[in-house]
Amino acid sequence: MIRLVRAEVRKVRSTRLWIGLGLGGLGLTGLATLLLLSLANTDQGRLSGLHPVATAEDLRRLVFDAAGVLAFVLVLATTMATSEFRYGTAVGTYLATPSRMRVITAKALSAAPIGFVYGAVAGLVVVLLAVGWLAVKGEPVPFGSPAMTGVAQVGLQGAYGAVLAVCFGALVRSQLVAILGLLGWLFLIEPLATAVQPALTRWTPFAGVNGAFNSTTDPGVVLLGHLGALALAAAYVALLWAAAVWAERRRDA
Amino acid sequence: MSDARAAAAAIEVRRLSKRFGAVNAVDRLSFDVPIGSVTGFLGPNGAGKTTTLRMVLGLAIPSSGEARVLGEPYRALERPLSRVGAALETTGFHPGRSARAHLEIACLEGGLDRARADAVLSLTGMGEFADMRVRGFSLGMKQRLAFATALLGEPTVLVLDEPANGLDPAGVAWLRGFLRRFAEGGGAVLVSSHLLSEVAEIADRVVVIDRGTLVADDTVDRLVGAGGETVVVRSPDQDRLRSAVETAGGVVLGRPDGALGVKQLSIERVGEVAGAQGLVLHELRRETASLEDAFLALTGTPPPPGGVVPGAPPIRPDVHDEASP
Repeated sequence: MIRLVRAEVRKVRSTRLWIGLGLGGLGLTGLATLLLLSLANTDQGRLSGLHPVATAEDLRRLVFDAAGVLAFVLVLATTMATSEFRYGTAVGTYLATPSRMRVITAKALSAAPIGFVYGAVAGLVVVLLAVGWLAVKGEPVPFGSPAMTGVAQVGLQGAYGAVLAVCFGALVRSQLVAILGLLGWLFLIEPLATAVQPALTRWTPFAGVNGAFNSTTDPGVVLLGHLGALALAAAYVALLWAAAVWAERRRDA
Repeated sequence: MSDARAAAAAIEVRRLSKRFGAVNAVDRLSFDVPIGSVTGFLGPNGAGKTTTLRMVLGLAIPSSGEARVLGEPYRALERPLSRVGAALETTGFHPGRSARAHLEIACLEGGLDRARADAVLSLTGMGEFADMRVRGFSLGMKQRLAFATALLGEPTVLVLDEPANGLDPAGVAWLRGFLRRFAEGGGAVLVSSHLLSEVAEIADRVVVIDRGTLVADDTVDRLVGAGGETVVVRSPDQDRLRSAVETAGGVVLGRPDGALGVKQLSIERVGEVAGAQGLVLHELRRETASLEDAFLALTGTPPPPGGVVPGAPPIRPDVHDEASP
């Protein structure tokens, strides 16, 4: 399995998509960080629930809110599966490893660290920008372990999103449908559904699972606890993984 | 199946069928590919060749029947790249990946030494293009890369789908020699092709299918020999010649070039008959049936478009294809 995971990582590294998506994600993260920092001390920001970064916990929250790399992780991880069918490389993959279960498991296992690195690097960028911003302003820098916890949380969120996306991509196969489906869910369907029915939020694959990494800023929403949200995340991953393996075993390559 | 038969057949196909909705793409197909031989796999477009190869390789699921490679279903093989090398028309390459990256990934997936990547790049004449991205490759270069991938694990069985497509004449000649040596070294090759002249030159056996069903499974010699020998004869007085030959027991067939094709008489007898009548001959030669004739007779269809008829020059590759293996 280790060599299959290495092969999947090599597949990602051998094209330039990961660089483009990484730069895009970090760029968005930088913009979001500077925007949140600049708005935090304004009346408009306060009305929007933004807090100035005065404590280490504030910095952790900023990391989680500003690290806008999840959508890019979802796109990259989806293509790890769907590009095999788009370009016909699935034929070579299955000739080398006929077990569909092993291939999809290897893709999921390789997507996790890739997603983690994306998330963690984005989190570090937020910390660095915030520290620099506060230093320039002459304000105290509340750097501490909560900030690093935030970085790890964003990394874990990236890992979870990547595993979910690669399994969804293997299930759907169509690159366009898979990417639009995931981004549509993340930015449209889930927010709309939870706005209409907030009680649903705790069970959703993105906002709900955030309970495992962070707490919501919306006082009207009660998420599952850390363990409950982790179990929910594991259930979503297991469900999509099983569905992808089941479908691939019954389909022609 | 007896052990002896299993040992002799590298690939066994038994009553293999594949349905797509109401269409029977492959219908109860059975044949063997013996070890130490090159088996040509022929059929018109849409005959089910690629579908059959994909089922043999575990890429498509049969509706019924089974295919075994080295005694096992492909999906059950341990480290399959070390036992079976395959290059299919449907094999794809990521356009943004270099040839070397493609091969190194296959090495990782197949549990092979990464040095094999450079070895097969060199073997197939792709060494100088190793770090070029596939999006810049011609069809011929992609064929070489697919073939290089098939050879990565030093397999004992090769399954190739139209391997000469897009290769330049030197490449085709190299491929022909390589496959012959591979089979003589104890390997087994199943090669589908539209290039009937190529198949005739390299294959020991030919499996011909049409509309998913088997129409012939025999040695090339027997298949071509079944078409018999024709004596081609031409005279300024064709009517008298025809009459004399028919009187002597020959069956005369008209030919598009105006000569007469004579069956059931030897070339010597045709010459004697013409001499006895005092007929001047402008042409007298023996013509044996070609694999193309046999293919036409078996399938009732001409070779598919893009196929090369015997004697015609092979297709030249398009741009970039300058390496010669």
